[in-house]
Amino acid sequence: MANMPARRLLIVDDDALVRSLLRDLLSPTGCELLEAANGADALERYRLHRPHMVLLDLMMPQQSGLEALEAIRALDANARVLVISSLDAESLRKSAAAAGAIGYVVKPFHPMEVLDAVQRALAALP
Amino acid sequence: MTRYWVRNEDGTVLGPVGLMVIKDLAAAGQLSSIKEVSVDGQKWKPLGAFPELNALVPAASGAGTAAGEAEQIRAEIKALRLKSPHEIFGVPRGAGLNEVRAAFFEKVKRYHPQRLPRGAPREIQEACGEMFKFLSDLMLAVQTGRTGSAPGGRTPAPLAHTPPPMFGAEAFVGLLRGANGTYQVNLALGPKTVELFTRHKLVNVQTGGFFIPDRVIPLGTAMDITLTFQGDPRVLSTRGKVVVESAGQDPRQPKGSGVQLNLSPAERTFLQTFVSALTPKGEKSQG
Repeated sequence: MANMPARRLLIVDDDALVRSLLRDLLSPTGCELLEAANGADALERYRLHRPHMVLLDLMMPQQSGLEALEAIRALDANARVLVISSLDAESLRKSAAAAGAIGYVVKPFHPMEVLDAVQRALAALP
Repeated sequence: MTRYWVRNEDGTVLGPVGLMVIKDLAAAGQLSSIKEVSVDGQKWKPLGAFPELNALVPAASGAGTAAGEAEQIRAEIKALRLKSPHEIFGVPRGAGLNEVRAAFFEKVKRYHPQRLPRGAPREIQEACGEMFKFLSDLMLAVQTGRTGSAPGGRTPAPLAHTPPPMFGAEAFVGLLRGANGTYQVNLALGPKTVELFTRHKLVNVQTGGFFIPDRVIPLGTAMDITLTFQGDPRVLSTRGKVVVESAGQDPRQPKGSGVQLNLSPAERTFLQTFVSALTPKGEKSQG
């Protein structure tokens, strides 16, 4: 991402394998990558680091992704959150959008799908 | 309107969501392992305490015959062959490559092997595989400008190095975790994949495993593995476990993950024989 300023991304998924896949995929972009394994940790990291974008799983232990999404948006109304979930239903996509998600990617995902979505979100940043 | 939280057997939680979301997910067979439900996210009760939900899960009953559904998918492929890529992906003419690709990803996921219900009949698996391949080949043709109707619009510069435009099922990652916490891995063994079983010094067909290059999977990760063999109808289903996790920081170790398979002696012999037949002369697997 040589033509863009450095960006910070927060990857939130309880699944270490998925975090690892996303880290491998996004590392070459030059973005700073942060990770969280649950909603509470995600909120804390968001508060501390103010990432430019969050990639968020929906089903996680204790605090669900939707709760984390609502909490992050309550903290920062401009937060850009991309949902990446194995669950897929139009009504759930609408719920995520209503809670403030900027996009929804269904697992399993293609690398270009995630890169395209991240690129679109970051391109809109000032 | 009541909002629900649902907790699965593995402890993961979804919520708060309305009844419609649960109904839709249940109908799609995506909520089969709910253990408890809550209406405040704090106090949990067994699923049975919520008759309005209990009746929904599991809901999908597989209407119609497998053969009929497979036939329907094949008829759809036949009809799609007569249409342009834009019509197939449902994007306007002049849509940019990124827009076409996004529409492709939306459409093709329905047919991905990992998104089919567990235990889906073989006829449906095969028909979905044909649809997946048809759409993937079409997307590859669009991506490489071989369709005669190249997308218009301006495509932004790539975020990073552009990955090779491969759209086969194996290019999709973020493996679905099964209800028992393991991962589902399907591997077709042929000339293009045999190296997975021969290149690594420690984890190879001789030691009863294979090595996935470049993908760093946490040590100890359990997998349900299905191996199919090009030109041979046999299917080998077994368990596996990640025994080597290398992030590539050590120059002596290739980056990737080694998976040890749980094989019977007969299975191991068959696998070794098959791999040996595929391995070019002069290249021996490293034991």
